[in-house]
Amino acid sequence: MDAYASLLRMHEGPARRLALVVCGSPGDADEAVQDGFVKAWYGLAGFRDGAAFRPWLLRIVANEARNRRRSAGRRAGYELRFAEDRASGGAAPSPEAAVLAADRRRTVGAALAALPPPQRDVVACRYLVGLDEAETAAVLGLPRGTVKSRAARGLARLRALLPERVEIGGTGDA
Amino acid sequence: MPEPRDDVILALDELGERLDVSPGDPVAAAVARIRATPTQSARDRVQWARPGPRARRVLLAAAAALLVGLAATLVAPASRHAVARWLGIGNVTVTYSGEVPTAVGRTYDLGTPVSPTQAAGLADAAGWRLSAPSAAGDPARAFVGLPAGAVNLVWAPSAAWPEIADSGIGLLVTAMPGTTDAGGMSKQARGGTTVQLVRVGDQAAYWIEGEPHEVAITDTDGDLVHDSSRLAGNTLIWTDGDITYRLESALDRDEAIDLASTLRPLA
Repeated sequence: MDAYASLLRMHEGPARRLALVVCGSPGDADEAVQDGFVKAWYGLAGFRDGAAFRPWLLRIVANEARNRRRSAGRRAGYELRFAEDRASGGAAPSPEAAVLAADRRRTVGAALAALPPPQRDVVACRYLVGLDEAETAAVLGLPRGTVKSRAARGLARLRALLPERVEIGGTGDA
Repeated sequence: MPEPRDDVILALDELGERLDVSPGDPVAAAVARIRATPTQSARDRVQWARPGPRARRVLLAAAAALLVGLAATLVAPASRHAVARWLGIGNVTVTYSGEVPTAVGRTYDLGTPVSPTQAAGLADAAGWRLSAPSAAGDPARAFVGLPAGAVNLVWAPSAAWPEIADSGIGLLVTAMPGTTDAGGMSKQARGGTTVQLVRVGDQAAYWIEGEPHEVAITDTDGDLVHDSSRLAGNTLIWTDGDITYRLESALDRDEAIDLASTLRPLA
């Protein structure tokens, strides 16, 4: 069991980010990750020989997250929270820059929330969780072509929703 | 062709880096739930490696529990941390306990079962190369995570690899990142169990031989933890590069060293 916990720790970060971006609710995401980890334990016997562990585990977590999103229904909101800017070896960002950065994240987060869930899932897996195209396809159970097209449509829609230029950087020089 | 990184993608990347998950610990919560509700699959997993009644009697009849390790003073500072990770101790002596720990013979949890190929893949992903004695042929099974970060490779008993204490296991090789420094380790013999300094190739190694024993670990809090994952067969510990290997078997010293000398990357 300790071994399984060690294995989970290796993949905990992406699993939690994935559940959060799919659910859009920190509470539901936590439950989805927990349930996914429990189900994965009992499903280890079915783990296909030679398969990669991470996509297999993340797919279980993603399914749990999508189930929760479906259960929550249309009234459920989609809310992502973001950590505040922290100094990383240099000076802390100025208060003005921190406010701008937080505002930028809220804007992009709101645009992401406005995407249709199928596009949002793909965009979030690719760019917020950091999965590549093949992993995204495996995790969401989609053909790679569908991942590619949904990512393209999702990005196009985001570009339309966002201001003409999204300033990035976030530490005071944007 | 690399994907063009426009402002929107960069903004999404930044969003991902700043995602704030809840402060909960779903790994601990999941593990607690699994522990609280054992199922058939969990029982099967333990059953495979559990020794038979005879082995349990043998182990329970062992009059002494051997606490094996390396004195911290014998370990170079640079490798002390690695040894501590390996044995879970920073200061060890060979001593005997008057009691048989209840953990002896209860379970032999070698970790999470995976195929040898998967184990090699997990090691690759963790940044190290898993090797095994090529003369042993392909391992039958593999387990990961016990000790943390380690891979356990298992071979079935055969004419060449006699069964270890009725365990259903012929050879057990544990591989773990980290090195030991065996320099200065002296021969110690008590109660029929010996710890010898030997060599595998040009590397110093330890050979532990004798009556069935249990490896007990003193953790950083000073508490004694009985490592019931071990079979207590004759044990050879050596290093290959940055990886520490441990071979448990019913082989004698020279046979074990010969076998260890055939270490090759697991395909």
